[in-house]
Amino acid sequence: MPPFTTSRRRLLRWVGAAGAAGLAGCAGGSGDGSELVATLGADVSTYDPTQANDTTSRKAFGLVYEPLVSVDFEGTVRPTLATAVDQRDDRTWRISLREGVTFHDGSDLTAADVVATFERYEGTPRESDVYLWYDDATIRDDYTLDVTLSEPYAPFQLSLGGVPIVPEAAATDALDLSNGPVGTGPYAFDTHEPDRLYRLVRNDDHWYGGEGEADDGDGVPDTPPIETLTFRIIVEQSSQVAALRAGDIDLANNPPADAVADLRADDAITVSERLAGGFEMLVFPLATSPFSNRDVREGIARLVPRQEIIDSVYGGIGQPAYAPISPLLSDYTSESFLQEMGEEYMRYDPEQARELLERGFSALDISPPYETTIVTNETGDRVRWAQLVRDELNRTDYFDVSLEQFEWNTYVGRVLAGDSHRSDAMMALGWSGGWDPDTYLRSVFHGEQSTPSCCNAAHYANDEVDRLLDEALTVYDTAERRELYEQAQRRIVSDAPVAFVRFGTRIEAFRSDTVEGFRTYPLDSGEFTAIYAPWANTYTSLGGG
Amino acid sequence: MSLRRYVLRRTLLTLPILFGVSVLTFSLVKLLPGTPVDYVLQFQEATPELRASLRAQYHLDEPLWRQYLLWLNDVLHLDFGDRVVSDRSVRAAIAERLPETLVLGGVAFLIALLVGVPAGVLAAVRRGTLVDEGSRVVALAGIATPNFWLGLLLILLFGVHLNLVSVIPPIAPLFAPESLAFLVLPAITLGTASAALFTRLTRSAVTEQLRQEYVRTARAKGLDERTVVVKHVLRNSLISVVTVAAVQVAFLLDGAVVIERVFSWPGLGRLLVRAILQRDFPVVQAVVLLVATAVVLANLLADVLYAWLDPRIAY
Repeated sequence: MPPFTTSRRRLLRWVGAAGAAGLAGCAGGSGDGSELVATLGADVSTYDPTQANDTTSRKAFGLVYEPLVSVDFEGTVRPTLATAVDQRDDRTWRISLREGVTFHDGSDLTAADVVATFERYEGTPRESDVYLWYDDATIRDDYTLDVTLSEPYAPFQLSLGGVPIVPEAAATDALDLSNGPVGTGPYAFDTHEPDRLYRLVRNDDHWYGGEGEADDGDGVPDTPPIETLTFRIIVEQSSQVAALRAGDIDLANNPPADAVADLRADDAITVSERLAGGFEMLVFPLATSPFSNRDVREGIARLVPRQEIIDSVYGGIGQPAYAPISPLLSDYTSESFLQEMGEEYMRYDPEQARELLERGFSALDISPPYETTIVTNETGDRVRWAQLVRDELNRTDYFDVSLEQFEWNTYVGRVLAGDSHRSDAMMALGWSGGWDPDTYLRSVFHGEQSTPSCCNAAHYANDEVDRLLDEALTVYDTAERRELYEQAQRRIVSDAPVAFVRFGTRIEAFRSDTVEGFRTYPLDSGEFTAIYAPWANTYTSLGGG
Repeated sequence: MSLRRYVLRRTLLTLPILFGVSVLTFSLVKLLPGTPVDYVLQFQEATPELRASLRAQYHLDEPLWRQYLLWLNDVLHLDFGDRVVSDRSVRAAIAERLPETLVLGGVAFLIALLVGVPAGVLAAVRRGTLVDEGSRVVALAGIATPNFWLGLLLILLFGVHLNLVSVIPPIAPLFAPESLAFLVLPAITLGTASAALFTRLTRSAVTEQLRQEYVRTARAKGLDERTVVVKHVLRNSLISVVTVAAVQVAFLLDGAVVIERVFSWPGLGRLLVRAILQRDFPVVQAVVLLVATAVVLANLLADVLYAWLDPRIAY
């Protein structure tokens, strides 16, 4: 899996950069022999969770491996390979495993596999997925273990959801995961032809016993209704949309915004959308005048035409952002809080912006117009919103802004450079978070995360914010955490190291006559969760057509 | 100098060129921002030990000249190392993709020749007529049309609106009839510019030949026009076409990078683009070196063919 991303200390994962994916299929009812031909927007580069730094790979093995717990479509933690995760004290959690679960290689799942899974992260590119919180584990019996954390860690259960369990043999090199993923999931690996296809077949020995009811009242089947999943690798988004419309594939992940209206108009296609984790923002280089001045920053933030951006760039899809935590996390933010932040510090208001800029420029004794740049990568939507912001700024007498685009890797190198805060350019960025509030804040706003450590490109540093974020990470009580995160957000938004622009939306488009029951998962790499997720009473089948 | 000596000398001359190509390939890749370590770590914080061990794994801790020599030594043994993004060898990845690109390029080349040369001859024979003017307009449009755009246009027309062909390649072996049938659109897209070039080139070569004395002689001898054009004029005209055709190999490989993406064709171009984005340097170096070598060899072949076809050429 994982069905959510833990972007803490992780890369900047610019919204839309991950490539798209989709599902497709030929018809054949939900009976035997059914094949769903899916798509991935890039090739799968590894089958090993400890090596996978790209969303495509994580997407591709999401149905093969399973974590101890999963996070459902609303962000609720659900038992998966664990039947219970109980807290013993601040740092110790007892995990009870489901009995009778077998890996695709026939071996039984036991506590030893879980411990080996945790420990094989050491010294790997994804070390921080586990070693942010993992200290030690004690096996109590074949199906019970105690995990000791290095310190109290609030997102522990969500983090468990991001650790796909692999057989112990993979840790001892008796099993080489580079030949193919081996998990306990509802689908087992079949073939991979690089840049051509990646195929999974139904695991008829999946542990699920058919208990529970699906949302539509039908019982959840014991095994997935779809027998074979073939992911076709289609890099070019336009080709992906064309393939969907031609019926060569039946579902496309994240079609480009400018194709959505056409897809909506097509009777054969259903477009499903829901709020995603993540936001777009304009980052200010805090060490450079005039961006060092708070009034100037707020002035610019108030010139970001958010609604116009959503309407004209994103075809009406998305929501204006005034604070970092996505409304997706309803336990930690609310519409009224966002509106309040907008009103006080960020909402589009050219008149107020002029006053703020006037005050800021006078305080700095800078005579306008100030020549500067907005840098972006070549993601079309991002370039277009940056153009709209540039135009707004140039309409005032205070700025003479130009736009500069960079190839993706050059761009990442530039915005994550250690001196990003000394640049004289604003940076148009996207950030994707997960189900925990910390994922929206720490990497971008914690003082210790300043580039090149991680992704705080503005080099925003506020001791109070750092303290709040650190404390919130150790508090298990949701209400208490929410209070801490509200305080942190309030400080950040009022300091305005960045101007928040838009909360993203995840979109899937699928052929109405074949795909049934598909639900849109809001986070990166969890797109295929809906194919079979008995823990969330969700499965997709193929209809007539 | 005999032809044999010329070929030998010309072949020896390619060695320093290939050496230069290897130095350039190696250096240009080094100029790309980032290192494989950045990709592996995705710019995350990492312990200095982990970073150092990864750097050592890719020989990044060695001086540049030594990195080059280590690389060159491996390359001369046809060992391109392992990929950064997986444990698989670069050679295996290339071996897997090369046939796909060669078949796509081959079909495109064939289409370009089969369309371009006859069209050029026709235009020359009927020069000044509507056929000539028409072929000029079509050829210019063919040269000017970005193949990316043409590809998408063909997909929309034949794949979506007319629903005659699949938008994505069939799941079948490379030489299965359905795979070859699928190749028609990408090959047309890829071959269009070359076809247009061959048309213009053939037209001017044939026009030139038609003015020669020997044509007048042949006609005077009573040979029919068809024999004059096909047996005499075309053979002489093809000298320049052949040389340009060899160089077109480079353009076809180049264009494949874009076309393979549009048509989801799993060839070398796709491998290269993804490798660049992933900082999979061993792959980038191997593919660029391979393509550059192919171009150098194509040029060599063109020169040799030229010399062989036209004994008047001094060497």
